[in-house]
Amino acid sequence: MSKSNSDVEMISAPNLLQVKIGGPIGTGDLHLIEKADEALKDMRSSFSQWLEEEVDKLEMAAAKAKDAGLDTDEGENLFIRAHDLRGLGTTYEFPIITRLASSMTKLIDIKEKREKASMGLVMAHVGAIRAALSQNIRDSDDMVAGELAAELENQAIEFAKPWKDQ
Amino acid sequence: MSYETLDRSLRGLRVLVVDDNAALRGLLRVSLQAFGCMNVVEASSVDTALEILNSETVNLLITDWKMTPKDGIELVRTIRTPATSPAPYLPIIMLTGYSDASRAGLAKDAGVNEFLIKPFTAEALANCIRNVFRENREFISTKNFFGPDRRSEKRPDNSEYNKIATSR
Repeated sequence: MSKSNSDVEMISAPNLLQVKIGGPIGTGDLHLIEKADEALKDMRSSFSQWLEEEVDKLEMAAAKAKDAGLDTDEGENLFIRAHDLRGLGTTYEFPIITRLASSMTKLIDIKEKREKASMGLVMAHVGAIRAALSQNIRDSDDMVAGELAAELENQAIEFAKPWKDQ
Repeated sequence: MSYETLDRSLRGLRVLVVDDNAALRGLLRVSLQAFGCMNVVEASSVDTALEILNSETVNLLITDWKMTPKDGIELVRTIRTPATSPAPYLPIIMLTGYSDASRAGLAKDAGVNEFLIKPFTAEALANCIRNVFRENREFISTKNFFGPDRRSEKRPDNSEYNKIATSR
């Protein structure tokens, strides 16, 4: 069904589930959420291995970007790897890796930044991510790791200031 | 509208999960299965997702944003092109590490229904699924846009759930 004027058409979209799902999460869903949490916990034994694979990919991308330059396709690929880790670190129970990867993406998330970013600072982020994983440092409660993350974040924020409002 | 739990609601429905990261697809799959959705189809790329959409009925799409060579936004734009799309009204949840307003606007402009911010939790996924299907949002078609009408977007009232969750 639709109603329209000359430029805009409103359409009642068919949605087969509207009849079936009636509202916000309720008590009936709680056990399902707990069941999903349990299922996710069952996968925990694989988290470290998966994260290892992701950090390997990051390091390979970083090596290629170091050779080719951050302002190339390799630089963009490195951003994608860091962006993935930002999302995955906490999922895999290493929130400090999410924090470090998030800081790293601030350096290289757009082409203009990749043209000017310090490779040394980028590689420092990569090294910190590897160190966190290999030393099983999961969050910022570790004083040295927390301070390192804060310092890297400060430098990334300082670098990214000119693009802050873009 | 009568209340149905997620497992009753999702039973028999097909969900397509698109992500180039196999582990993340696995996390979504087990969460959906725990919710009662046993028919989860996976695609590791936009092109594979489009092949699936062209060949079978899918009831919900959950896609990552940042993928190569084509990204999730490109997938959404293709789906929201009625002239050529196999499923222009397909409910779409965008999985993303981006949470800033400008990027959210970009995704909404492409026709995304809901966002699931990474790292996601089972609770956030459940909320997203309910939000997608509970809103009786009309679609709007203009010269430059086809997708859910953003003007009628309503946030869910999760007060009952929040009350329960905080008491857990």
